[in-house]
Amino acid sequence: METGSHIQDSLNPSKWVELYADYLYRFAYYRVNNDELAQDLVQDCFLAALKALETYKGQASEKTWLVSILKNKIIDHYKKASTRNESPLQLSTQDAPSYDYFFDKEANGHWKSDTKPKDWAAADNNFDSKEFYKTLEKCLSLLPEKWKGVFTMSLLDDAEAKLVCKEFDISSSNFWVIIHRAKLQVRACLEKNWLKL
Amino acid sequence: MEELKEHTHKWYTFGCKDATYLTVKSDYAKLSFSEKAQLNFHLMMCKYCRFFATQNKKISSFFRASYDKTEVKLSDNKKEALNQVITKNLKK
Repeated sequence: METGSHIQDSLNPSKWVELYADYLYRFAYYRVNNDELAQDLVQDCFLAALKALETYKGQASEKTWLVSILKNKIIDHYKKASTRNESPLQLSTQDAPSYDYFFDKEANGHWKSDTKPKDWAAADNNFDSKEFYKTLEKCLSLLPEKWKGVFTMSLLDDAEAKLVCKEFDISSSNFWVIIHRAKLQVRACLEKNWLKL
Repeated sequence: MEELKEHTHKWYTFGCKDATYLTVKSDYAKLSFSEKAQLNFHLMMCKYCRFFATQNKKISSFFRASYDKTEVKLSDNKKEALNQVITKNLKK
């Protein structure tokens, strides 16, 4: 590398895996909920970082810099998924239940009789078990890919709702609609598959 | 993709759809005075939306808890493979 010694001082690609791979993998995993995809994203991130070594200005730490590259990779993934609509494991947006599935248009948007929330406190529910978390993951995986991204990221970074909107190029009212519909769907899925009320 | 319409509501047709929407929105944004009043009035009368409101909070906390609980790590094999990718691309 001829590009100046400060780059070599601050960036050390041969240590990246040892120092950051687990962190980056975890970061990606919680945002895409898929083991293989998360691994691919980490690899893509390292490759993109290697290509961009010269642009690193040393303003951010090596770790922060890598995370920002990974974030872009994750957002790219969701953007692609929402236009291609080709992830075979996920239901497409058309399959997501619409508002009409839950609410009766004729009756001022009240719950339909078979979608009314039930009292979870009445059930013998084991919310702390491994099986429960599996069900939770399953219910999340049934969301359309883009919603999943919006929903997951909005949960992770409490105050970053605005940022998520910007990254996904959606208005804040669309953001609330997505979260609303995602919540309705996940709630119904849990009630059906876990609560067995 | 089905079009996502903005959610709008009028006071004279305020129903469960609107109440659950505002419940979710209130996790991320401050509701206006009239939104708050309509939501609270509705919740007073509708036990299903009260269930939804409790469960809405619960579901968020389930997801956060699931992130904290799981130990997510890369296998040594995968790390080795990543190292090789990096070394190979560094030389170029």
